[in-house]
Amino acid sequence: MENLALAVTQFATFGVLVAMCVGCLWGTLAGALPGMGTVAALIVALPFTFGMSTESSIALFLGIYVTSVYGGSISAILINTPGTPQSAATVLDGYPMAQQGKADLAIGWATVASFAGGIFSLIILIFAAPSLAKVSVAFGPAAIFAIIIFSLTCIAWVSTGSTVKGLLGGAIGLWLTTIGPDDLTGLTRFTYGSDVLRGGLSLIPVLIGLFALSEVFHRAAFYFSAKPAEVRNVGFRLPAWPEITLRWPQFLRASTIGTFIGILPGTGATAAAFVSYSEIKRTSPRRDGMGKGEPDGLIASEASNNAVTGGALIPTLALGIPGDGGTVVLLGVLTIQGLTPGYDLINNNAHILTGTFLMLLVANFIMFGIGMVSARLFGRILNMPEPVLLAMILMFSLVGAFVVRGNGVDVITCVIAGIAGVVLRFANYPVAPIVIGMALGKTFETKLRQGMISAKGDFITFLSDPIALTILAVTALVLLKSSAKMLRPNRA
Amino acid sequence: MPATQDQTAASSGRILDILISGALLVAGITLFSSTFSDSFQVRTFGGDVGPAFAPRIFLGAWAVFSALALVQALKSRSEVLGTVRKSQLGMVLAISSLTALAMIKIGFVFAMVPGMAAFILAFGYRKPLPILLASVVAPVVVWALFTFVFELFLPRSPWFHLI
Repeated sequence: MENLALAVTQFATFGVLVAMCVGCLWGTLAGALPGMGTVAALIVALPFTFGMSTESSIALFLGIYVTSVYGGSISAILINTPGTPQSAATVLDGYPMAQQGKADLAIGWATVASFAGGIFSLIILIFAAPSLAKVSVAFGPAAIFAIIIFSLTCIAWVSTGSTVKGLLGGAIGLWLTTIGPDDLTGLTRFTYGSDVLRGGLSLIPVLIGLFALSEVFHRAAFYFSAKPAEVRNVGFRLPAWPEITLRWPQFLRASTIGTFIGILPGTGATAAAFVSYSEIKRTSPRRDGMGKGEPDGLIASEASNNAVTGGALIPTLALGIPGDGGTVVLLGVLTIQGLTPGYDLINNNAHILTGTFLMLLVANFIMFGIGMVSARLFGRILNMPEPVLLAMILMFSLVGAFVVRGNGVDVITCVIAGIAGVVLRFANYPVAPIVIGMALGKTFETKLRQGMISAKGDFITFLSDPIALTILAVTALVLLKSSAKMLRPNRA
Repeated sequence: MPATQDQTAASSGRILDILISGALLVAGITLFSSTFSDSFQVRTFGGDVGPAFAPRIFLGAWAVFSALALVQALKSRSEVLGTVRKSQLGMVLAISSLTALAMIKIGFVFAMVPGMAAFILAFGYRKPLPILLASVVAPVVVWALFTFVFELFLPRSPWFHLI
């Protein structure tokens, strides 16, 4: 209760409210613009956090994180193009509804479903994150080491492209963190005499390059100026209450799937939306109408992809282990603000955690409000010239890369990462495992070496921790299950 | 604007996949070998596995997975990447790289104004008002915001104190 009062005092300010509203507006818009996506939206806002308070930064980023997933549904419904990959399943029923002249109702269903999914996952987050963080005190170096291996395996397993390429990306990301000084011995590694590499690579410029700039370059490769698709029947109509209550099992099922898939590192909202869609299609009494404009399809996609946001925040806030590109950026923002997720955040900055929950709640309500009043406006903005939008992403990417350390080298690193990212994308390599590998690499090495020192150099003693052994056994099962997939040729 | 013959080309994703996987395999093996060089030989104490241990795990995994990726690429069917506008991509890559380099050398504003305009023009977009807003107004507003509101200096030119 004390934490709640302190959180309200610190977060209920005009500045935080403005940051939250700006974040929600920008997140919805960026989500609606095809090609932007959650990570690019967060990256564009990143430079601004350096001049903001901790509370305002958290509000801005949570606003973007929550609403960007929802924003993707607007373009999926109106122009048959999902604004974000997470909304790909929304197209299946959203666009047919729009073609039937019910675009406003489709946006209404998407908004209600997104809100329900977001609130459901928030409730789970409120209960799960503090408990998991408290339990995490029992996690020794070997357990953390095992969790990181498990996370990378999960990420690679569900990677678009192929499992092998996902695992390779994770290994590359882990290796990138070893460039520069070794904390224990002071030895500089893999610098080859270059002063530029002596300090190591910063995560944020690489992340910006791999996600935002590579997207810009990728779109440049496939951009043909053409008349924008016609946006029709734009507006917002709330579904009738009996129609909503009739579908509560679908809301509950989709939200549960989204939340629990979100908790698994790397699985993400895209996978959640499709798993949920296939599950609802299997169980819904109205399954025959799915794919032809049935609201159950919209609920399946939108409730699950928004529920992922709360689920993915559980390992991020409780253990400091990000599950996807979006939570890597959020983790980066928390670190920039001097906060350490996990036990420290729960015990020493509990009011910040409580404030984070409050901000998530507010973000979901603002998202609902934006859907109600701004659907028509976003429909118009979808006609924004793409070259101008890409130029803006380029500018904010370069600014974002620079302001992290005020170092020009990071700007060059960002561009190199962008070029590498687009080449990898052409070859169907997923870039998210590289970034997540980078986010986890330092901890992986530190815990491994700490554990080995405690075990006096004996690897068997190091791994004799029961928690670590359990997690490694689960990892082995995941690897065994995916081994058949690994041996198949890549057809992505 | 319709794509012309010299602007577009259908590329083989399979060849690119083989090239990238092969290059990553060579890079992985080379880096892995380098961890056995003299520069990694340092004395460690108290059970520490040393600074080469973790990189060897990462690079070992890198080499194995890239070999598997290469085998997959060699086994895969020939696949067309799609119609890629190579000249447009090349121009955008060149402009972005030059803009980034210029940003460090001559400052944010002086690099961004021509860089953003050239970037938009590279897409064949010609409407003057949006180009002016994006290439002049936007960089100046961002520069002013960071300089005077956030008090964070973006890269400055060698000729002026603030810009």
